[in-house]
Formats: sequence, C-alpha cells, structure tokens
Amino acid sequence: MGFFKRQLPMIIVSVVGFLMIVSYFSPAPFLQGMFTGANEWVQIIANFALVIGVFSLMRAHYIKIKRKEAGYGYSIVMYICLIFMTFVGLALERNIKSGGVFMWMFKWVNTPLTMTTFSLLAFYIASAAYRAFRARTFDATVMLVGALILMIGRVPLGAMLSDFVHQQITVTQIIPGLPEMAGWLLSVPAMAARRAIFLGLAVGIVATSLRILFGIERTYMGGGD
Amino acid sequence: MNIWERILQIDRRYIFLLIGISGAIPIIMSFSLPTFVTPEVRGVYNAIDALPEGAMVLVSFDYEPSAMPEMDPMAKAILRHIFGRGLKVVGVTLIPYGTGIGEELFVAMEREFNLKQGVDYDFLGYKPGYQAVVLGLGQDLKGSFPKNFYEQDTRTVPILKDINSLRDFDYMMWLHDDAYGGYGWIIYGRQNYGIDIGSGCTAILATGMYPFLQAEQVTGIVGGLKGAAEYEKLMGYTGSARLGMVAQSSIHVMIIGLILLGNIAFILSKRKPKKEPSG
Repeated sequence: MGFFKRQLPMIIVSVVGFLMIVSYFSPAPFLQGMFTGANEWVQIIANFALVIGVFSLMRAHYIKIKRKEAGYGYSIVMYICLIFMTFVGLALERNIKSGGVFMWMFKWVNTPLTMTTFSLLAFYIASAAYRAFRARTFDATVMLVGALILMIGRVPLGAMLSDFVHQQITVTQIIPGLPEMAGWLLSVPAMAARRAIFLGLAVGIVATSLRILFGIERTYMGGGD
Repeated sequence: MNIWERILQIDRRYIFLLIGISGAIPIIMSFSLPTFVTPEVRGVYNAIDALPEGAMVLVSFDYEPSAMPEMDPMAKAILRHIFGRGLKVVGVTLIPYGTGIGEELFVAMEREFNLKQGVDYDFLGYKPGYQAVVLGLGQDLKGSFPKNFYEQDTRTVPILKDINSLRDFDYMMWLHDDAYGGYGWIIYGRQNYGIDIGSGCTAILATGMYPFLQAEQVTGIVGGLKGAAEYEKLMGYTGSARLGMVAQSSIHVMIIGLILLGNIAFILSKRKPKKEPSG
C-alpha cells in the first residue's frame, strides 16, 4: 500500500514534470502534442477546482449557521445570494447578456458594494499614514520624504507647483521638478527593489520545483514529511 | 497633555471628515487641473496609433469591480482609441468578474461606434486556469474557447476567421488590477508567442510593472487614474479620469498636510520644557 500512497504519486509527478519541461523547450510534434494535451487537462481541472471552492465555501458557512457563531446572519445572506445568482445564471438566463437580471445584479448590486468597500480604504490609509509616517529614525525619514515626493509628484498639482517655483526662483531650475523626482523614484530605486523580489521569487520557484521533481519536497502529498 | 500631544492623538473620525471634504469639494466646485502626459502612457498610445486599420487587438479585462472607478475610465479611453482607429477587438478575461466588466464596456462601445458583435469585436469570456488559459490561447484559440461569451461557435464568428493563436494578434492590451497567474500574459504571451503588450493597471500595481517596461516586455504602462487622465488628454477629451484627478490631487495634498502636521507635533511634543530657575 505504501507504494501506491507514496512512491507512485512521486514517480508520476517526476516523469510528467520532466516531460513538461522538455516539451516546453522542444519543437518535436509528439512533445508539443503532449504539452497541449496537458494544458487542456490543467484547464479542465481548474474548472473542478472552482466547483470544489464553491462547496468548500458553502460547507464553511453551513457550519457557522449550524453553530450559530457570531455573525452567522451574514452566512445566511451569503447562501441567499449564492442560490439566487446560481438560479438566475443557470435557470433564468442561459445566455448572460447586458440588460438581463444577472447583469443588472452585477452592475447595480455587486459593483457598487465592492466599490464602496474598496473606497473606504482611502480613509483608513489617510488615518494610518497620519499615525505611521513619523520621522523617528533615519530610515523612516527617507521613507517619509520618498512618500511625500511620490504623493505630490504623481498628481497635476506637483507639476504646477514645480513649474511655479522654477519660474519664480530661476536658480531652482537646476533641481528636477517633483514629477521627475517621482518618476526617478519609481523607475530606479523602486524598480530595483521590485526586480530583486522578482528574481528571488523566480529562483525560489525553480528550487521548489526541482525539489518536487526529485522527490525531496513531499508536503504536497500530505503528511508533512 | 499639551496641544501637540492632543494633535498626535486626534480622533481618526476627524481625519475621515477632512478626507471626505477634500475629496468632495473639488468635485462639487468643478475645478480643473492641467494634465501632463508621461512617456509610459505615450508608449501604449503610440503602439495602438501605429497599428494599421483592421489590425487585431486582444484586450484582457482582468480587473474586479472594486477597481472600476480607477480602471473603467482607462478602459473606455483605450477602447475609444482602438475602435476610433478602425481596429478589431477580441476580449477575454482570466477572472470571473471580468465577464460582466468586459460585456458592459463592449455594449457601451457598440452604441458609441455603431459596432457589430462578431464583425468589429468579439468577447471570448472567462475560463479558469490563468497561465494555462494563456498557453491554451497561444496554442489553439478556438480549441481553448470553442464557444464565445455569447454561446456562439468560435469557428463561425467572422472576426475570428483568421485568428488561431495569440501570434495572430497585432497587439494586446492587458487591463489588470493584479498579476493574475503570475504575469502569465508577459511570461507566456509575450515571451512564447511574441505578442506586443500594453499594460493598463491600478496605480498600486504600476510600480511592479516598471521592470517589464525597462525590459521592453510591455510597450507602456497606463497606471491608475493618473494614467487614464493622461490617456484622455491624448484622446482630446475630458472624461471621469481627468475630473477625478482633481479630487485625487486634493486628497493627496490633505494627506501630505496631515503627515507634516503629525511630524511637527511629534517633534514638538518630544521637546522637554525648560527648567524653572531654582531659588
């Protein structure tokens, strides 16, 4: 039984994984056909993952309602919405188009609700910025100055302010304007940091993938070893 | 507790009120501010402008309704540019929400430019799998999407007659509020199938797109409401992005003012009071 539970899945993962790597770089028709087939499989499995996701959500909220946990009323609302939208999408409107009930619900219920929730962030960010952006240390001061330049340099007011100062005090023309400073911050230090993160991520993905292919990393099979 | 310490511990509801007022006043008073076009936005505009009439453009609507205030003005400006130049569009999305967003935009453009679905544009809809979908589109578009969003057989849709893979598109506009599928459009779409990509993304994501711009993996970046306002300026009209930028400028100034006030209060509250002379 140990073979079917441990070794066989590992062999399948290693063989398929290495074949996928080879087929990605090889123009051989046989390998290309296999690559296309595997990709179709991934898309089909992704559809099943969606279904599993819905059932998992329903189960989690069912438990919440059954136990009458705090805020279980929201779980009931979730069930009503899920059933209603599924009914509209599958039974009422086989072909979802603009002007129908499904799109009406999307446009006038879902969209305003999510937009409102997201826009509340502006208020909380302002409050958090007021309390967090303090020049306590040298590092914090550098971040504070950078944030201020970006905030003013990325809006038209920053360009207007820079132009005004450059016109009024000619000697300041040797200093770049606020939009140029903001642009430099984005395209040099911020990009360098971002690129380092991307490279780190890529190396990490390659390392983890190789560990899985060689059977060193086995946590995906469960059991934690 | 002195006045500076009180300022430091100001109730956050006052901050909410100030932000609300600073956002509302410019909209009510209808102020206007000049818009300056950056090279990143011009990169997308020029790429679309250089396409010959009838060229095929793929547009991926990969953003959620929460990002619509930022993304919709941008999407409209870009689609107006594309349809205004007589280019053909095929829409797709890697996220479920993208279907509603794409459909609404196409319907709006259909009315504005008197377009015909299937001839001037088509919408493939959504399919789960992120990178797998990008690879599928690159290998066999009609096999990957046997039916479009309108339940029509993609083999019979006139606009898709000569489109079999991502390689058959002249340009792609990626409208996104996240890196769905780990930048699959760039990693596979650009690198494997050679499609030129323009990025239209939320402001928060724009920073992350700069490495791709420098590596010429995207032709340009239209970042957030600011990018949308710049695109509107290039298109020669004032839409909701340019109007919204006034409110955004005002809120930015208010936040800067609050941060400066907080720092002044922080420094002054740390000062020790002068000792009274003894005796």
